Amino acid sequence: MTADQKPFGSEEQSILAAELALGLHGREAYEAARRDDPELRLAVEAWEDDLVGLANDLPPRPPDPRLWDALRAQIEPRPSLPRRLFDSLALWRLFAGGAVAACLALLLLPRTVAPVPGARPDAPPSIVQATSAPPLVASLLPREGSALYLGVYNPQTRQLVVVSAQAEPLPGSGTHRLWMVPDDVGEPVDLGPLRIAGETIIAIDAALASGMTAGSGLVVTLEPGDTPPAREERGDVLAHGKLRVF
Amino acid sequence: MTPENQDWDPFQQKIATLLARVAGARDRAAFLQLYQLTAPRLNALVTRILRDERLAEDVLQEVYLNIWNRSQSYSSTRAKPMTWMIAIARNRAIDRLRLNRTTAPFLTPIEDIDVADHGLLPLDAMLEHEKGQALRSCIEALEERQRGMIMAAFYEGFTYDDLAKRRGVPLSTMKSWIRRGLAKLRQCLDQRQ
Repeated sequence: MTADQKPFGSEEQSILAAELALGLHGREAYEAARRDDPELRLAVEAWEDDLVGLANDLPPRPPDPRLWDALRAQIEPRPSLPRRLFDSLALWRLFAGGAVAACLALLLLPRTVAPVPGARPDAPPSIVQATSAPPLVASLLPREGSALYLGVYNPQTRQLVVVSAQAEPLPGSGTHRLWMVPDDVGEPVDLGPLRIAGETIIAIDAALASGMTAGSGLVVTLEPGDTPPAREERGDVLAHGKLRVF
Repeated sequence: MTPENQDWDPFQQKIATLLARVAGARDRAAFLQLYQLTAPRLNALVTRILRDERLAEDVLQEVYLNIWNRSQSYSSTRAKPMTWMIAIARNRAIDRLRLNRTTAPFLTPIEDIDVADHGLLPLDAMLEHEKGQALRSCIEALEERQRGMIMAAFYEGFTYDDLAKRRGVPLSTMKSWIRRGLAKLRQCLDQRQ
């Protein structure tokens, strides 16, 4: 029996509901059951309630107090857009890691100034205002240590700029490859190799641009060469970050 | 308070009330109280699943933003509020775990996963709720293999495909093992309710 086959008896439905609640059929089947089958949804929720004791069994673990500060900053109205960036927990860690404040300024300031299309060549540059889609930023953090890269995406130009956040080149050999993960849970999309030192500018084609939204993930993997790896041969994840509205 | 949740314990009723204030008036003070009451539990679960404190903090932040944004969709007549919040936290943590697995090998051999490997406190030392005690007793009563697979699914987010590949058995065999375990678990829970 698969998740999309409706069972005939209540016991079978109960087992299917348990499987869905545990995630044994995967997330899509879980969401589909909750969305499409009210009876099965109730059964899944009943199992989730039965299994909640497994979560309650764990000794409570108060989170770092800074987490609430970061959370509060995101639910309160803020006076200005730049403030949002500096309320980001990930970016505070990035600054705490050091060596990237200059990169950030270098990265962001030139991108805010650009010629207006159609303007005279000698006309002064104007500040580009995001009229419909604001710029997105992501700090790409490894599991340990400070940020590896900072990414800034401009939806107006569909240009993704990724800059190294490390003062010194990383030890070891291999190529750093960038992936975009739609909604941070979808199938990774290859965005190509990164320059380990300095800046990489990536043009995002129109088909991919729809996935470049706040909440999507950027992942850096370590690959042996410059060619795209097969799905089953992808290298280890070096860093991960989510795009956030700047 | 609805008739459906009058039987809930005071903690669940308190959480439901706070969620309603968050949903209705976008009450940040209520959200802070909700966070203070529930974050240690959700953090314990997310950290257990991800085994990485910093990653867990990132996910926990997403979980609470999700709760803030989706509080209006919570229906107190359908699920207990902690069950609803724990499902959000667990699903989000497992999503992140699966994302890492798309490019990295699995870290923990399935053979190593068992009750004792989950940082759980002994049966007689931890559980405060009768229902939780029943669950633990019923899980302890399962065969070791069934128990290990069910725990691996809950805490590690493994699907049938993952588990079959990791154990090197046909998918049908894995399904058969787990389904027998789930049937026994259901029977045991029903007898205790």
